[in-house]
Amino acid sequence: MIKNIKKLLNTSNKRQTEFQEKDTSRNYNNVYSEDKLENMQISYSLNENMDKIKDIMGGNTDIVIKSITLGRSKVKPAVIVYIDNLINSQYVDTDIVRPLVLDSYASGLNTSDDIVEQLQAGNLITRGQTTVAKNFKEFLNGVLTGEVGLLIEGVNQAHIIGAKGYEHRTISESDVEPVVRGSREAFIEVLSVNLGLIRRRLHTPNLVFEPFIIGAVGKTNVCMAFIRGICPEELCNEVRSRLNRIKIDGVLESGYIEEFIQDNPYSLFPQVRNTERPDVVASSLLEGRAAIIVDNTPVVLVVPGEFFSLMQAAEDYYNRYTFSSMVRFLRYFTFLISTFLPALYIAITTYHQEMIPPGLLVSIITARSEVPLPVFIEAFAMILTFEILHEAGIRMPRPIGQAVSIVGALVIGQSAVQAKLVSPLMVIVVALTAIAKFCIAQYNVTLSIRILRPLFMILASILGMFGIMIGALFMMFHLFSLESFGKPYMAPLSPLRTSDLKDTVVRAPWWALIWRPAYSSSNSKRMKSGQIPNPPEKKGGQS
Amino acid sequence: MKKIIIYAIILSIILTGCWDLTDPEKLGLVTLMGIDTSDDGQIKVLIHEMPYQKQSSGQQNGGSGGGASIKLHSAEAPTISEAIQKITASDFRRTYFPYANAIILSEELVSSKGITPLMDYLERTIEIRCSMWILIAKEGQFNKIFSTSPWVEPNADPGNVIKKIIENKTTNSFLTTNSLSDFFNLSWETGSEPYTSGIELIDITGDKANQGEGSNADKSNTYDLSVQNTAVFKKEKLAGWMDNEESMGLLWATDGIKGGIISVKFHDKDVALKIVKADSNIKPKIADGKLQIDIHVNVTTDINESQASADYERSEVINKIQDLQAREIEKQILAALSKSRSLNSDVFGFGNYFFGKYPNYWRQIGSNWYDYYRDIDVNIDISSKVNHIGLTRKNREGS
Repeated sequence: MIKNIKKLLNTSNKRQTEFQEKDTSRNYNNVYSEDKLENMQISYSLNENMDKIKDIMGGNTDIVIKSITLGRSKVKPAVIVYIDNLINSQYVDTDIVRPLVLDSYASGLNTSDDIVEQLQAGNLITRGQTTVAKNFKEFLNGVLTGEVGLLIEGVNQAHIIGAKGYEHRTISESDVEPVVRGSREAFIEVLSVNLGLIRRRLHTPNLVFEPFIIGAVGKTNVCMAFIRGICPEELCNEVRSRLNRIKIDGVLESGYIEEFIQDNPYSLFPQVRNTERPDVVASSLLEGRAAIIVDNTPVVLVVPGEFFSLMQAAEDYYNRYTFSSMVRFLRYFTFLISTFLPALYIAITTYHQEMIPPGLLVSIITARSEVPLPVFIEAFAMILTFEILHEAGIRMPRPIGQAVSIVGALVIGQSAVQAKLVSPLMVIVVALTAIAKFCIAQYNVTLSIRILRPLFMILASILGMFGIMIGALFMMFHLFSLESFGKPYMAPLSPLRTSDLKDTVVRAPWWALIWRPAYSSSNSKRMKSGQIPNPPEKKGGQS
Repeated sequence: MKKIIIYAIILSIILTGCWDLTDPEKLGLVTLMGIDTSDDGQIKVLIHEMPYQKQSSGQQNGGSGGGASIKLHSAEAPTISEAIQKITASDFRRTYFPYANAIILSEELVSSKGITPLMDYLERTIEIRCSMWILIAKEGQFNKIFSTSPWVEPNADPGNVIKKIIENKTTNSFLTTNSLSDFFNLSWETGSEPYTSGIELIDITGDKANQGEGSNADKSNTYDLSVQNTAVFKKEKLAGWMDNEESMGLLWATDGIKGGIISVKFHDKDVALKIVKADSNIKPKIADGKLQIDIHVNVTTDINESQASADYERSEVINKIQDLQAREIEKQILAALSKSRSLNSDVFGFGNYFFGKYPNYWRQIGSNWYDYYRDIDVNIDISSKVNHIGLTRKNREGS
């Protein structure tokens, strides 16, 4: 029996190798570099061109090569080349093939020469984006990004006609940055759609989407967006030069770019703001920042990303300013809680018991009296458990979600306490810590909190409050020395700009936010001053 | 080189840490501390440790009686430190003093040995907090206070009960209890003497606890703990006691009244007034070579209870009450003064006022201050006010 199976496996293996051997007869060993393609000019002979295309792309199943003939008299063969899944076949049908083959007769163009003449004048094909390629590099770049290539006998150039139409996700609500009030739209994976989402919010000719292509193999389209006249020139140049510096084979997510362009690569703190929301990008552009939009990524990078901008949420600017200010306070408080609370708990309960009110200390002691683990091991165990649940919650297949959350809640919440492995107070501390983190809108920041927290816990368990102070001081030194694209990370706190403080820990009302943040804009006045709304009867008295 | 420095910093943090780590459940929180003198002249230290209720307390409690979870430790030794060390030999927890609410000294101790040897320990030790209250147990009651448990609930923590009683100062006008730090200050300052409240067990039925000799755990409910009267010190030893009336007088003069009740006789009937606001100041003066003290008291009260029938809507009546109130306060202050003179102890700290205002003159008289203390002219000026008359306008008898 087993022998039989082995035999079967062997034969199947053999077949595979045979298949592969057969495949190698197709010219897979030839690698076409950029330079090589650039030197391959498109020739006058269609056959020659076709041979080259077959040589380069012939092994692919998704390439479509369709032969047509142009003209009724003086016939010329021509070829349409495209990638099947990247184009919209309807466009190819109605806007490319039909005008060339059918409509041209109706308009009285009979000879192929006439047709080519009209084509080169740009009259025949009505698709918007039409360019001309001289060599195979340009030709294939066009075809491989979803455009349609048209080669004609006797013409030493190819027409590249835009007919992109690939499948993509529809615009949906942001899962990572949800809001109660505000636009529900979030970016998707398609660059052009994302650019449209931003353009729809800023109807100005000064909004620039500067294109870059990054990745030697992947050739990902990347756009730098900024508003001319608001974004300072130096920032644009800096972003431009940092993007041009990147030499990588492929960019699959904007995170690749983020790691290449941040100022301090070793820092635990993110120096670039990430967002899925077009309204956040638009408002950042209005503040004089630049955005980097990467194709195939719904996450846009906004630079400079200094600390206080990372702590903002889109909704801060949509809700009433009084409430927004309160929420901001809450957010900074939760930042502190989720970084320091377990460390403080360890430090105070093991080194500084005199700091706890007597009633609380008694309840801590009562709760802990049957817990066998020392406080800091108890704390580490709980934090570790939570991190495991957190990571599992992200990685697990969706349908299992409920099971994991039930197990998690029971393990953390009840069973551990009932088994007297941890004290209920510890559960409260860890739960509060874990929940508090989610008040911070930037996922990036919560990641650095998750790294800092155990570090502070170790310091607290070694040196108590003194250790926490040492750690906090080092963290402060680091934070205040960081920069993001030339902008101090803790601006406007350091260097202090009192006028900018009204959009940091509090959010001043819109009519008071007259100036853009000082560091990020050259044209810094946002609006006319004195727009505070007055009741009508007071209006006369003013002026 | 850079690496070595970094390693040095990291190691200096890690290797020096952890030495004083204590998990909280290993602490025995001392809630009440007592110091007595033993028969052979040694110092006897008693400690109440805060009771912890285990979470699964159901079975364990029944075994050893109602007050079992309040742990009492005691040891005798020539010094307090040694006594505490002896206690740790019988206590599996580490005795931890910052949460002690009060320290009780026995009258026998403070009248024989004095407070100086104790004070040094209490001041010098890190773990003793100077915010704890200091109380003097009436003669013969020290052991009873510690051994019987007249606490409201069987597991109530005695130190906390005492602390709560004392912190009710706002509703009580005769508590002269001082915190350890205030007590220290009074004993150090030039020209003042320390004082603090006494503590005793009283029988709820009205008799003194002394009579109920065979008191055991069952009978303990008929006893109540009471903080009252004032132990007055001279130098370092107990000079004598002031009763509640005199204590109140002392508090009036030293700006210690925070609230409570004062009652006056109006037409031979009692009227109880609730003190709303009271403050006072003392001004020393030397006129014609004679020492003089001006005490000014401001007091505002509401009428809380009236057994007399009077129409309080009439201003003459209110004026009369105000006047009576002033006289009552004056009487109390004078009573306190005469007691302090008879005990020869300047609890008011008049000497300190003279020292502050006339330091040169003080240098001449300071060494024999008590010769002068007897003859100081004390002028008492009281501005007395009755604010509200309560919710009822009618009195029962009047019509």
